[in-house]
Amino acid sequence: MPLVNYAARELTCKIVYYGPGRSGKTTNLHYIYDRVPTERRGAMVSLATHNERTLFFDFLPLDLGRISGFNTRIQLYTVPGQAYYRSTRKLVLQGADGVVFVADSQRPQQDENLESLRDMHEVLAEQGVDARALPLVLQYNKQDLPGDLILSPGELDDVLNFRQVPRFTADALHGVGVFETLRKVSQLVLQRLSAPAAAGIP
Amino acid sequence: MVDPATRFATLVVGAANRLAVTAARAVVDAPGAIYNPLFVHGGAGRGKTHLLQAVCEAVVAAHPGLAVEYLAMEEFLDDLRAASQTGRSDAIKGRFQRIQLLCLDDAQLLAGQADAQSEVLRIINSMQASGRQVVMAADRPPQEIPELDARLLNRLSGGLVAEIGPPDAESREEILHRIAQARGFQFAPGVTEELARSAMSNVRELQGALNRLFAQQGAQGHPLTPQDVWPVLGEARIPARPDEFTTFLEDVTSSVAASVEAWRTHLAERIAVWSGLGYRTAILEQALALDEPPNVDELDTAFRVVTERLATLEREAIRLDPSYAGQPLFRDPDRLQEAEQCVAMAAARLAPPAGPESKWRLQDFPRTAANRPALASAQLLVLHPARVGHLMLVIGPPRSGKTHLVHGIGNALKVAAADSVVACIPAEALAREVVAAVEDGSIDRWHARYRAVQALLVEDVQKLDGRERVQQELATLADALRRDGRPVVLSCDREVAALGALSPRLRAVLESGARVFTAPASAAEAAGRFTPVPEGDEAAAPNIDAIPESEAAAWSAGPETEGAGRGERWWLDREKLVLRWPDLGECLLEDIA
Ligand SMILES: Nc1nc2c(ncn2[C@@H]2O[C@H](COP(=O)(O)OP(=O)(O)OP(=O)(O)O)[C@@H](O)[C@H]2O)c(=O)[nH]1
Ligand SMILES: [Mg+2]
Repeated sequence: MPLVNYAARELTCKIVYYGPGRSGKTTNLHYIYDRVPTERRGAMVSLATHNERTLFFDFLPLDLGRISGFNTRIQLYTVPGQAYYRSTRKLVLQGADGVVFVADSQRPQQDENLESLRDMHEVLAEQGVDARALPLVLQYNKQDLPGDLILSPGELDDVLNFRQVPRFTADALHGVGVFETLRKVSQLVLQRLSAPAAAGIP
Repeated sequence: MVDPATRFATLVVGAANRLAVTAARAVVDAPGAIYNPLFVHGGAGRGKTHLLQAVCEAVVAAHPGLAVEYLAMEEFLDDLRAASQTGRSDAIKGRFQRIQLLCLDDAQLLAGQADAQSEVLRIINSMQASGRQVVMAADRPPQEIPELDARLLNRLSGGLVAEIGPPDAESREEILHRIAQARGFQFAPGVTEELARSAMSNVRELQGALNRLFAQQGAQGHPLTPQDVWPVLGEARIPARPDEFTTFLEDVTSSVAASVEAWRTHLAERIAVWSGLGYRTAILEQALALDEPPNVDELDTAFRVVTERLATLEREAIRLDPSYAGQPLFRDPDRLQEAEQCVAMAAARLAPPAGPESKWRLQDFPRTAANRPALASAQLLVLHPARVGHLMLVIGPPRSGKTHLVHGIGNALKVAAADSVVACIPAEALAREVVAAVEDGSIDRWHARYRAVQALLVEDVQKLDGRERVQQELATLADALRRDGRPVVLSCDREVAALGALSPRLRAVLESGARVFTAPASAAEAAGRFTPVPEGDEAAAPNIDAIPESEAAAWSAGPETEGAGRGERWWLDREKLVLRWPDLGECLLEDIA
């Protein structure tokens, strides 16, 4: 549930980047971090092993300033994609207001994508969250790789986008699609906030 | 007049102006019914005038016969100036009486124009009152117009305030496309798109740029390419490509703004206005968190009523004591009750009720045979109010010395309890105060002022005949004071039984008091022994000790209830006279000594 302080007219929401290991979640956050003016972001916290695999989570707080009268903050998190960090993923996903699912477009990774997506739905179900009510955006990453190595957006749609949520192709390493993805998920989350009745916010 | 080329149809609607346009359409559908006034604001060249004129035009089309006027503020100010110079201000006042939709452009020009502001306030008030619509536009929101009268600010922001933001890239493209179409400009693909990338938010600027591109194209004889755009317009105009984060932020902001329910925006605007005026807006902020849309106008009106009351209280408090200026108490609608109390207490402390006139001293009260019992009772009341049940009714015909006795008691009480507030007031004046307090809603304050007195003396209560509310207030007050052990003295020119319309409560109060009687001095008495204190001889403070001991000794035998002078005491009736003082002597002698 987003943190809304009506008295101070402050609004803080949490967006989690989910997806299989090495799909590019941390890369998304790094790209964003590099392009946000310092006064708009806090320190990025990254807990990773020496080979850059996320160990616990990455955290990047953004200050969007006043939006519709609210001082708006967005907290970006990534989960560790590797299968055995499930309990950490569960912890990080707790209280998410929106999710970006970063899929790896490389052909051999499709099973992992699917497995991770299923895992996400399971974790949400365990937390009693109605996944259909949670703003979700898909990102098909690494679309910069040669065509024969990757699946086309259509092929990925067939397997991953059964709910027909907004999806973006991306090359997170070079920033293509990174802000488009963030924009969409932010809009979904914030619009939901601005209409609490529809979202069932007490 | 309204330029016929401007229409709703030619307006490019995007996230930046959606709220304003939607509200304007609602106004067209039902002028005067909602959003009155509608106030749109935004930077130069964002289509405010366009929107105002579209409203005028659409209203004329939708409601034939409705009198509509579009007026630029500059023109209005000129007219106003001319009218005042030629002494024809009335003509201006009459001018808008027939108008049912008034669109007033460039409202920011009202800054610092006190006369024009009060005129506009008057026009808006009168138009609103008769359900006629006002639409205004300015380059900034009402609260940012400098030196704007608070009441006008309140009016302007009391309807709907809608911002027209800078058009986003998509809208800019659409705007350029439409301009090109309307003027028959032909460009190669990508040219208008390139221009739309510019950060120009001023439509006139965009239009000018497009004109120059078209002129250049004509001059060079072949189509411009997108790469030609910035060189033609000059280096300086090349837009700094907004960085990704800025674009992201703008997009998120405008799309969220467009999706926020109108009532929340409206309420948030009101909160901004009120907090801009320095008020705490916790109540309104709570409403912002509601699921169901509240009636924002009702909320706002209720809030305004409270703030107006607070403002009145603050003025009053400052009048009483300048140190109250700027107290946060008067800016917090949640603390209205507290503010009322604070002012009531300050009023009681700093504006006490009128006291007795010092020229009437008890020791100067003519000690005629007939008055002696009254004087004795007065002494007793001063020294032992409990003995007379804290309440005394002085009954006597006109010119029998009631005023002297009552004021004398008042002065003696003041001496007895140093520095205490003793209220001494004719019943008619009391009635006037009560009526005024009831009328302006300050009866609580009135209560506080009088509840703070050490003693209350009211003359000529027979004049309250038929004044039900005043009688009720007096009865309540007298009851409360005597319960607190504070003396109450009332005077009357006749017996209680002879009083006309009397509320049961006041009758009960009057009847419960000890009654004493005054009689006019006989001719001999008047001529001889008793010289009135000359006016202005206030140096001699009223002093009960000045009463000769022999006199006091005489009273100690108890007030006379019959005997000498009976013939003069025409109203005296043995059955009604209840002046029996048990063990009076000792105390009185001791205390006086
Ligand atoms: N070619 C290409 N490589 C990418 C892209 N995005 C990420 N990578 C690379 O993929 C690798 C893994 O990226 P990360 O961002 O660390 O992956 P992650 O999703 O955070 O992985 P975990 O932390 O293990 O869950 C890195 O070497 C990135 O440089 C992309 O769009 N294209
Ligand atoms: Mg990672």
